[in-house]
Amino acid sequence: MIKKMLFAAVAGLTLVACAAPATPAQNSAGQSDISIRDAWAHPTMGMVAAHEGHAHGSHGSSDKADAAQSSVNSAAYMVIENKGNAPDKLLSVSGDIADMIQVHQTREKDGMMVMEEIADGLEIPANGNVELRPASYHIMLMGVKRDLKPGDTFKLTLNFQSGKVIPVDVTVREP
Amino acid sequence: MNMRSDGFKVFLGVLGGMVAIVVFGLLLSYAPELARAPVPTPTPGGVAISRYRTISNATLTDHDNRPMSLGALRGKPTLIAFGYTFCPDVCPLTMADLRRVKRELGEAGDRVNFVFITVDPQRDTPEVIRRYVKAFDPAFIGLTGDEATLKKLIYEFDGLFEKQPPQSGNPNSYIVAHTSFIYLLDAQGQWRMKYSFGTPVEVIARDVQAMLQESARRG
Ligand SMILES: [Cu+2]
Repeated sequence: MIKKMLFAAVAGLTLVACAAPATPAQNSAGQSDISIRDAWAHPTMGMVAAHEGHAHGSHGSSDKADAAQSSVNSAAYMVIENKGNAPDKLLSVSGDIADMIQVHQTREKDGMMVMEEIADGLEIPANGNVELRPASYHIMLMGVKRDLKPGDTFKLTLNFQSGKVIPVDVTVREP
Repeated sequence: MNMRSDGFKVFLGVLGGMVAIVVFGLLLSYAPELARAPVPTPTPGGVAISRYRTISNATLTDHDNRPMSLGALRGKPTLIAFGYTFCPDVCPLTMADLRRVKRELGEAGDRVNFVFITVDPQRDTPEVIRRYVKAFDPAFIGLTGDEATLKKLIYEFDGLFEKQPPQSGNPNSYIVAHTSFIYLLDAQGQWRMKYSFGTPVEVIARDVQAMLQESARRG
């Protein structure tokens, strides 16, 4: 009996949910609606030019020629909002600002901070948002190609599982 | 159970469902407010080191590629952060916090050492470190050393670091896992305070200020 009542309650819910246009937005059921705000990134503080100068300088000289070179990196942060009624996933990010761009997560491991690529995509829940912020999710920019000074902007393109491709203007600023 | 009472219960169930959806809908209309309300973030203070530890007088290499013993830092309160320049997320935040502590201290900031010690001596050459620390503040000091010395040193602060296997084909794109704190040493080289990542800079600046007054009283 209780089962029957529950079933009926669920049926009632479903009925109402289907009958009423619950979301005023015109997206049909099962669509994400992604928007991005507050995109910013760390400056690289004169490191890029220095790095390139160093690389050129070391050409030809065999001493320490194969010494490990640190690339100049930065990270971009933003709020990814999904006003749609279906979840979506940030699968990848592209842009010409860096040699390699990955979606990363910083987490604690044995009391240490480590970061890892989120290989299977960052889930953006329906009617929710995900904040990319320091010591959490970030878009890792490895091998930044030009120096990023506070006030500079650059473009990134966010590629979602739904097929949505969203361009973002990122502003460089001090954290 | 006859059919009628069954039918009535189904009706009740449907009605219940409708009431539920109305209540749910009402809740939803408040949800955006709830979702946007800032999560109350804890404002961690510093952790006092119960038995002050004198940090060993290890000899490292400074950002000008000159040997520098940690003992040379004595005479001023010293803030130390371990990190590496490849790290794009946590480390620049920590360095920016050190800069904000210095700004917060104003002129008194000149009577304090601000020190970055790398956990990645392989890639962080003195030259790379110099560009890095000076970009934050011209007075900041950057130090490196051989890996064993650096591991021993961070261990003195109950910390550790561990080079991770490279994630991509590029062997130079490895990550170094490391504990992420700011340490405060007094002018005698004793480790006194530890601040976790995200500690408000005002808290750190206040402790440094108190330490400066303490050493002024000692004369
Ligand atoms: Cu990262």
